[in-house]
This record gives sequence, structure tokens and C-alpha cells, in this order.
Amino acid sequence: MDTKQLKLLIYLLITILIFGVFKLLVIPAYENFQTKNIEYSEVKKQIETTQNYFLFSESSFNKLKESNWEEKKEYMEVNFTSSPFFFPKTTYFLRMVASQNGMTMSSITNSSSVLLSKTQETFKDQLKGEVKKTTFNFSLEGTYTTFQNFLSALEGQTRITNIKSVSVSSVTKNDSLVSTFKFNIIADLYSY
Amino acid sequence: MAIEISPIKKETHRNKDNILIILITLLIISFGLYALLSFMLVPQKESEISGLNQELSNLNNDSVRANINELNIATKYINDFKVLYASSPKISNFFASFGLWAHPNIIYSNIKLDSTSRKVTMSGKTASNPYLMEQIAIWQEESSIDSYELSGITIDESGLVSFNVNIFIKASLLK
Repeated sequence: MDTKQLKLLIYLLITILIFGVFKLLVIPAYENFQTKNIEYSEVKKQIETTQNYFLFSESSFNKLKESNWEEKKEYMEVNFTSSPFFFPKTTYFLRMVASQNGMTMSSITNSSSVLLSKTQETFKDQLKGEVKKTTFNFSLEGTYTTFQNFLSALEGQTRITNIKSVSVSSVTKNDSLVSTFKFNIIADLYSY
Repeated sequence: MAIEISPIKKETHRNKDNILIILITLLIISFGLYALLSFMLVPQKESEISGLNQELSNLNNDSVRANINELNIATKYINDFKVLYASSPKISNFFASFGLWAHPNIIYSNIKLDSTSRKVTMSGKTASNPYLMEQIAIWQEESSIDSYELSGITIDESGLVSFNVNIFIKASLLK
């Protein structure tokens, strides 16, 4: 091997080395750098989105507070609490509304609670919470006027009472002009 | 002739040295690029990403989480309350309306209202047939009544008229 050939061999080896360095070191390092750049942009974008979301949440929360939400929540919460005292509390509530409007409750029974979305398809996509309904069956006695007052009072409560059916039957006819009736009511009340 | 050959040989030799220099320079640049990317630019980017991640986790603090949680509760309560409230019929409207269209000379009994089907079943008694005719005319004119079905009409010897009626009330009455 003469000097000329040796030099050519060295050139060739250096050229191969350059290509090797590019292929095995520079290009992977550049690709890694590009990946990091993309990751950086994504995190930056995520921060921007999160900041916007938090700003929107904060503004919504402030509006909620300004609208006296705490007080409203307390009123609404009665429909969305689940406690072992739901049945006695609801029975007490119905008795109280009845007596406040001059009616007497002669009997009250209730079914067990069932998930509303399972029983009524229409509610399936509308409700956001796991709302359960409990059917109460109760009888009241009073005059037609007191019953109207009772219904108005019940409908004015924040505890939602969905009256499914009302049956009216005459109890006695007093000597006075006022007749007393028996009202059998089936109503659904709600809880989470 | 010897004078002409000698400079050409020198030029070739110099060219070959230049190539070697260029190749070595290229090799050094390659290593330099690798070092720049791997030991400077990538670690710098990684550090920036780590800083951004830290910033991101700082954004999501307890106070923000509590606000979002409260908003979610509010959204759930308000939505569900709205749905349940809208689906609850206002039965008192029917009883208020009944007092307006019920004929004063007809005694109604066994009134049964089903809010789901909006059907009211009841029995009526009146001393005279014209009162029932008047009542029918009222039902036909009453805007809250969708339709009615009369059945079991009987008139006894004394002229007392008994009947059963199914009245279908309009959905708007219970809203």
C-alpha cells in the first residue's frame, strides 16, 4: 500500500465517520430536541387553556357568590340530600304543611327509593346527579279551601313534591255549609 | 518539459491536504453540533418544560379546586332542580280552575285526578237535565279542557240525573 492509497483510505474513513456521527448522534439529538420543542409548546398551550379556564371559573364563581348562592343552595339542598332520616323528615314536612293549612293527615306510607333515571327514561339525559325518587301515599282531611291552600303551600316550597294523583271523596256532611273531604294523594319526593 | 510537470504535482498534493482539512473540519462540526444539541439545547428545553409544569401545577391550587368543586355542585343542583321543578305539575291550578267551571247545581263526587295522563274522573249528580246540558256547554267552551267523555247517564223517576265523566285537561293548566 503506497502513501496515496493510505491517504485515500483515511479520507474514506473520515467521510464514513462524519456520516456515522450525523446518522447516529446528530440526527437523533436533533429529533430529541424537536420532540422537546413540541412538548414545550404543548405545555405552554395547556397553561394558557388552564389559565383561561380558571379565569372563567373564577368569574363564574364570583357571579355565583354575588347571586347569594349559599342561601339558595340551602333551600335547594333539601331535594338533594341523602340521609337515613329522609323518610321521617319528609313525613314531618308533609304533616307540617298539612297542619299549617288546616288539614289533618290520617295516614302516610312510602315506597323505597329508586333511581329516577332507571324508572323514567325521559330523565336519563337531563339529570346530572343520581336523583332518587320516593313515592309517598298519604291521606288528608279538610275542606276544599284548606286543600287548595295546602296544594299552593306545597307548590311554593323549595322541596319539590311531584303529585301524581289526587282522589277526593266526601267524608261527612256537617250541619254547617262546609263539607269535609278526604283527599288521597300519591306524590314523589326526591333525594340523592 | 520537466519544468511544466513539477508545479502540477505540487497543486495535487495541496488539494489533497485541503480535502483532509475540510473533512476534519466537518467531523469537528458534527461533534460540535451533537454536543450543542445534547448538552446545551435539549437540557435547556427540559429545564424550561419542567418550569412550565411547575407553573401548571401551581395554577391548580386548593382554592381553585374548591371553587371549581362548588361550581360543579351548583351546576348539578341548578340543573336537577330545574328538571324536577319543570316536571312537577301544579295541581292547585286544576282545583282553582275546577271551582270556576263546575256548575253550581251539579254535585261532583269521587273526583280522581291523574297528573301523568292529565285525566280527571268524576261522578256528577244534578236535579235537572238542563243543568247537565249547561255543564256540557261550559266544558266545550272552557279553554283548560282538552276533551271530555260522558258515560253512565241515568235519570231516575224524580228527574235526578247521574253521570260519570272523564275530563282531559290541557298540559298548560298544570304548569
